[in-house]
Amino acid sequence: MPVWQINITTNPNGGPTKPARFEFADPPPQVQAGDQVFWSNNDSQPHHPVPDDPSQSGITEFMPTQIAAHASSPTFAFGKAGTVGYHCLLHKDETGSIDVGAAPVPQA
Amino acid sequence: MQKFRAASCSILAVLSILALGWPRGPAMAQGDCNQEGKDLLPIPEISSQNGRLRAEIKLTNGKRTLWGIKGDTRCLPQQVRVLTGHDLLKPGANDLIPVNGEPIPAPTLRVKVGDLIQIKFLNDIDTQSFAGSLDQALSNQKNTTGCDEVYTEGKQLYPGSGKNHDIFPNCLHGSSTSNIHFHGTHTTPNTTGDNVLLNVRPALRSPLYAVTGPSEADVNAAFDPIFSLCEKNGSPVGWDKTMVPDSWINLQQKLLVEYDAKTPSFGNPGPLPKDMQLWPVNKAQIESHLWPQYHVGAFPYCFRLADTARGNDMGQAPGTHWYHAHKHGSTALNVANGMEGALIIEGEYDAALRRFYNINNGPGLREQVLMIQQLSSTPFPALNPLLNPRQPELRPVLSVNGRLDPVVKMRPGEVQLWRVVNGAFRDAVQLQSFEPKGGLAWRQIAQDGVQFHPDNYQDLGTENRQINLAPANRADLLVKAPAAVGKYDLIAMPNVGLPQGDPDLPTSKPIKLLTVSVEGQPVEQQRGFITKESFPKQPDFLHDIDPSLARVHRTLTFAGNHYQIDNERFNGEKYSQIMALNSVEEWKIENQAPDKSHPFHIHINPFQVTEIFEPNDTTTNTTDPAKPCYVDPLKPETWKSCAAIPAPYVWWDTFGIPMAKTVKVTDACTSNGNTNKSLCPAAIQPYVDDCPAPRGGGPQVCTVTIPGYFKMRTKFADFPGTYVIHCHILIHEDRGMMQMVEVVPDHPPYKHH
Repeated sequence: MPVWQINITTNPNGGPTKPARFEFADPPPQVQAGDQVFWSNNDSQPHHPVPDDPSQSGITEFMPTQIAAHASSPTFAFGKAGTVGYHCLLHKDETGSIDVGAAPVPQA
Repeated sequence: MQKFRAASCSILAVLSILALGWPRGPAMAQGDCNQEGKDLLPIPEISSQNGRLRAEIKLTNGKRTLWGIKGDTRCLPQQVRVLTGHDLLKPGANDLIPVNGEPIPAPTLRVKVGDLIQIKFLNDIDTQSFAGSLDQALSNQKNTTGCDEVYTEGKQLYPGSGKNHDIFPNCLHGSSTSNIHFHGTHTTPNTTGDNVLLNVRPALRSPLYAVTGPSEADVNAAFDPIFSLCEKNGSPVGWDKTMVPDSWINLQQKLLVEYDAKTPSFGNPGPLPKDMQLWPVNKAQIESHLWPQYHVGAFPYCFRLADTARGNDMGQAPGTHWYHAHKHGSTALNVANGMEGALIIEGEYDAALRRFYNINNGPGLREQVLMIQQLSSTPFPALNPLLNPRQPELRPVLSVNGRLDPVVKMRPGEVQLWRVVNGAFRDAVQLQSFEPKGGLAWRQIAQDGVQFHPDNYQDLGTENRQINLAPANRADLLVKAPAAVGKYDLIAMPNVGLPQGDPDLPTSKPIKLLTVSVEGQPVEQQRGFITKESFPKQPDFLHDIDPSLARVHRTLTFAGNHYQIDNERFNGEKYSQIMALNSVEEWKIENQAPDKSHPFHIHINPFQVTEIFEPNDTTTNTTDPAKPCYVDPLKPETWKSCAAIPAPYVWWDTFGIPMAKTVKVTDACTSNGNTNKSLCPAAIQPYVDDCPAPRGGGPQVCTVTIPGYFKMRTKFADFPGTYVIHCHILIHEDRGMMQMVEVVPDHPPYKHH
């Protein structure tokens, strides 16, 4: 049951004159159902990742409230496989998605 | 398996999401790391010199390659908390850190009886790498339980709100704050000794804080004089400038005040609410002439191991001990992360063994330090929404020195000393046999770091006698290789004897713990196992405790659940047991759980087990009314040990309490068609449940619980102070199965004339 960290950081190339966007610099984690994910907010303002479409993903929320500046979210455990799109409730153009693989089959 | 997509955004700050926990560069394929069958990793060591060990132990973030739970074929680099080491007595020595990302235990510390231990403990964790790991303080939520919180699909998985949900502070929390427990040491539990009430918090490093630190220069400037004074006068007894430099006292205050002022909480910027602030707690403790509890970034451990030659009543037993994280609420997670190492204390015991085996042209007595671990980034089954905790396969696997099934090498005919530590945070491990049989053999020579009496070596240390290691138990073994080359498997069984069904302690099948490869040139002179006559004699302080000295007898009851002793969760504001210094007591430790053997552990003083009652033991005819050992469910006076343990008694510091037995006694609790607990024989009513009807319907059933127990004698020798007893299934300790105890001076400070 690995725990995956998603860092929210300030991009030095962004700012008032340039649209901000999500960037994913590293190969993504191999999230499987049962794994946990949390968001670490390294920004100086709050953020609040939420699922795009609860009816499609079956996920109503990742966390009960926004992530304060320089704080971490609680962990979220994925209960099933599938692609989960999400965005920031406070900055609706911030979007991302996570593909969750199937959980391993326990060996007898 | 996973993808992120980029998307446009129109906010001022530009965000990037960086998926940590996965290596930069080429992705590592599944399963191409930590494969079984590699050589045993030797754990780096730091040794004392001239009676003193001075080391830096740093707690920091590290990416270590861990296995998943059993059944998960992934083998992935994950962020965990790790302990690195540095020998401060060897100028230029490199940090002792693992290579290749393998999760090797913390450095082995090797000292001698009576040595002074000085450890510069640094907490350099970047808390941003671990969600909500600064207690409640960095929580972003308006309403928080104070515990680590895990959500899934609109509901809270942990701590939850069910019947047995955890309540702060008896829950998983605060896992970036730590301390060190020197498990098995007989030393002071106070101030800079084996003090597990300390909270050493991470150094302040966030841009949030105007004051950060402490810096390395701050630490060195303060700790050198602290260590010098400690060497001269013993562990400090007070937090004042006669024992701790003013500069350090002031800096610690400044950092705590800064933390209280600037740390956000409940979604708001600092200051922290008053009841969450740390400095006021320290201030009150200091004003009461107590050693303060909260420290930031660094702590100077300094204590001397007991030695009868220096006037201690009870000496320090030389042997295999260990050290590990012990902050309430995070012991399980921290130890699961790998925050543990061996502590080898040498003395006449080792010297006598080496004299026996150091013969011409021989290899001497080569040693293997074997740390059994159960490594994981999430130790608690309830944190996985998919996990049916009754599936025994789904739990972290057992590894040795950071590898699965490593290979130990021996020469034909060689005898080695194996120092085995069960550092698993939850599982007991029974060493069952070498396979194929008839080749390798072991004999146990010490338990929990205390050498056997020669009689016990003769009677208990017989060849290949199975050894059950509860979590925290240690066993020293002499292992003898056969004359011919070959390979042998050490077969072990986790959690022997436990029934299916407990979420924390599932049963399992035998595993191959390690492989022994007997290879190379045979040793020229084979001495075989040491004889009883040559076996090291126990020092006087390990002689059996005189039972007539035990004037106080207590009974402690570990619950059938995961979090109570004597029907209470841990209460840090209460002494549950108070003992007089240098007094001898006899304790009966009961277990009400029919499905788990809670391992009882007490700090500072080892104990001798003098009686064991296992109601489920079928070898003593407990179920045959015609036999003398019959355990009558209706007569509590028969719930006792039948076979006496012969003296001399073995010393332990952790002992798995035998499980309880449950028996249906409905007939004895039924009268005129009515079934009720009040109708049971009066003597068993305290042990009978509420006679519920089965869930599926049907008549009521009354069940009596016959507790398992053991009795022990111990002496609270040499060291007054505050410390703890607890269950060493560490998740139970975190959830509240712990008590605070106090050893008070045996002479009042007043005189009457």
